[in-house]
Amino acid sequence: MRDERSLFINIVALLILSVIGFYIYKVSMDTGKGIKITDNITPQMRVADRFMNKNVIKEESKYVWGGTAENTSANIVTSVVVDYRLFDTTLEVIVLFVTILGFGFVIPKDKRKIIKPTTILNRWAPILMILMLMIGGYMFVNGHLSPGGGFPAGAIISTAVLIGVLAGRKTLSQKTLKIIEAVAGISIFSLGIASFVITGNFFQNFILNDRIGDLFSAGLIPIFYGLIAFKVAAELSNIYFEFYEEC
Amino acid sequence: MVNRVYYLGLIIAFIMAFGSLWALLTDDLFKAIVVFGIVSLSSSVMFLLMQAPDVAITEAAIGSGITTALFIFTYKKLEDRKDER
Amino acid sequence: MEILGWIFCLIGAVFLFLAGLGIYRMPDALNQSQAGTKASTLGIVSLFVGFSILKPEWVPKLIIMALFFLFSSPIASHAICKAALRRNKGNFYLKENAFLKDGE
Repeated sequence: MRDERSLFINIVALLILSVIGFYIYKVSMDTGKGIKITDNITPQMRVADRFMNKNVIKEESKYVWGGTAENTSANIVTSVVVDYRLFDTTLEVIVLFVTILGFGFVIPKDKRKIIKPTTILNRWAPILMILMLMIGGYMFVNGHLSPGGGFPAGAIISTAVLIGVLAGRKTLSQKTLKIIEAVAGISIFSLGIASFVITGNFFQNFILNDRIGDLFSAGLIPIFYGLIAFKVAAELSNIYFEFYEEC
Repeated sequence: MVNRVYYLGLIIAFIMAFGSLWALLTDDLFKAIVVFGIVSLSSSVMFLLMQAPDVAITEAAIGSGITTALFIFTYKKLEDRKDER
Repeated sequence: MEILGWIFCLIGAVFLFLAGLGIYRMPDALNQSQAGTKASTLGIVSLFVGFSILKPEWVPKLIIMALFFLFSSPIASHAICKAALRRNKGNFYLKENAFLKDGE
């Protein structure tokens, strides 16, 4: 402890940790029912109760819970992220876009060129890039049938561009990446507005559903995941180019 | 309560705890970056033991691939500036 | 037939452990890369052969995974050794021939 101020902060942190530790001890010694903090909260006083009967556009519509996944996708996580809560997912996409926007202000202006380190890496890198693109593409096409989805697929596709940069091959220009990112972002929101015009709700599936388990089932879900995957991959590849050229 | 998955989770939790303590207390910066990647990979395995495969794939792709690569780029820039002096 | 699959898995696990132990005990970067890639490749391929005996419906995906590992492992060791050469500028642990210790 260097001075009195850091000693005070450390004691406060230890007190908070000891309170949390006491509750953890109590849970672990219990018979498996959990901690009961209060007893007088009725179901109408819950925070979630105000949001269950809420819609963005209409006031009198209610949300029906329970049952099977009506949008015929076999993966329940995908149907929650892309169909039931698509509004939150688009806000996440906006947060990612604002984060990448901040990089442009920090990177300085003088750049260096991308050099090729050795001949072996320069010749062998495209074979690895093909394998990585295959794996990433498989993951977002089968987003509604198996675990995975659009976000890790975008990360894997950007790793394919990274290994190209480290081996001295710049396969895409930065202008192309910015165009891809902008087109994908606009398409997501224009599909939402189109679904508002066709059905009546914002971001609703307007393609008719088929059998569970097919490749072409679940309406608009693979299309949304594909757009999200391309947007994330373009943003992360832009970061790699700027980082490599700066240092 | 006593089955094999419980013991595997216990072992991986110990690896995560000791690894993160070591990454805090070491002097060399490069070792801290590598151990940080190992802790991220162990947390991905813990997600798989809790029966959440989507989160495990996302954590393995981003934590062990992208974050470590960005840290190595920053470390190289620090080394270049130290060599100039 | 299942016992054969479990034996292959055991051989693969032992060789992977020996690869990690070899990296810990070797004194230099060039020696460490030798121990890492040779023992790791054998361990992983043996593990995949054991898996393909136990579950025959996973064979195409396991072949692609083994191909990916066989493609990327020599390039990674090549890049690491080249970087170690450039960093140390030639001062390695065993500089001259180790058999000519006495005399010269």
